[in-house]
Amino acid sequence: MLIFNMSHLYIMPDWFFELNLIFELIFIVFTAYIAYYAFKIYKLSNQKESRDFGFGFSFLSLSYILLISMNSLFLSFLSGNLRVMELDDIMGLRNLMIASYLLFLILGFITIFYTTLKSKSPRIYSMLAILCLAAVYFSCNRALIVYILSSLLLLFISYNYIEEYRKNKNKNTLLVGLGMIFLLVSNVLMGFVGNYALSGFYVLSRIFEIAAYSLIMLSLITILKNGKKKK
Amino acid sequence: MERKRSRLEVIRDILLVIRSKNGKIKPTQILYKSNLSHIMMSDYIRELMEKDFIKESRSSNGRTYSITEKGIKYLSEYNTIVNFMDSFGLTPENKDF
Repeated sequence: MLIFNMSHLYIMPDWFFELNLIFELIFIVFTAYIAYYAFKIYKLSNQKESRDFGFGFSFLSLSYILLISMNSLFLSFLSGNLRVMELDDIMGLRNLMIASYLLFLILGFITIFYTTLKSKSPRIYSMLAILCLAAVYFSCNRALIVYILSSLLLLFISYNYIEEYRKNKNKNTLLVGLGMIFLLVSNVLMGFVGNYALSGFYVLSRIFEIAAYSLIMLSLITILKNGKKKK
Repeated sequence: MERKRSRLEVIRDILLVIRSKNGKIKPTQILYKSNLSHIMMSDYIRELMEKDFIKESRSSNGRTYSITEKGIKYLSEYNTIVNFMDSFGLTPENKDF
């Protein structure tokens, strides 16, 4: 099964296609829910850190929405549901969706990384975003550079959460930290997929990704349950 | 030695003090009960007013502060807010010194 994604074809095992769609739907729901709750905490407490965290996960959620839309569109095209005359339009739309997917993915991780800096300076955020986007724009292999940059950002994010756990011994922080580490592994694997056509790595990457978001969701659910108990 | 309070804790403590007076409290009463310096208390009061957690009233007796609905909501959801902020490493740097 060939799925168009970024500038390369992903080689995905046929048996994995429906499961991949389900995984992507789960990613959308999980990231959207985390974003929703972060914004809710911001509304209650007016803490900007929570708002920024919400934006980070909103960008990730948008990137998954674009990914699933792109894959569904191309599946329709490949199965002959779209007329050949529309090929140019499809390719144009595909390129736009690829660019948007990459943009929101990298913005999501930049924003989450920014929250770990505990900085109030919008200039630092702007600089991070501009540097990363410039690197992507001027790169020959944009998909690969996005995954490299995301992996670097996730490395620092994971390190931050492990340090937070060492300071406060909060089990939820450990869950989030492990989730970020799994996301890092997923990103690294995905970087190899497009360049070396390793379909097994694609499946493994998705497994790590779903494990990552499950751990972060588990942390959030525990927080909500504890919040309700203490009332 | 008493550990330093986080910003969220200080906000909670100030709101609890204001709520305990059933609405109207003078700045000096907040100062004594919140265990903050005058400068810190002024900073926090300004922040709480900007965030619409408290409102100021002026009369011939001077200024008083009362808690708003938003402030009451903050107190009722305080545990969830703190757990969320701590778990996701979002707790802001302490300015209580």
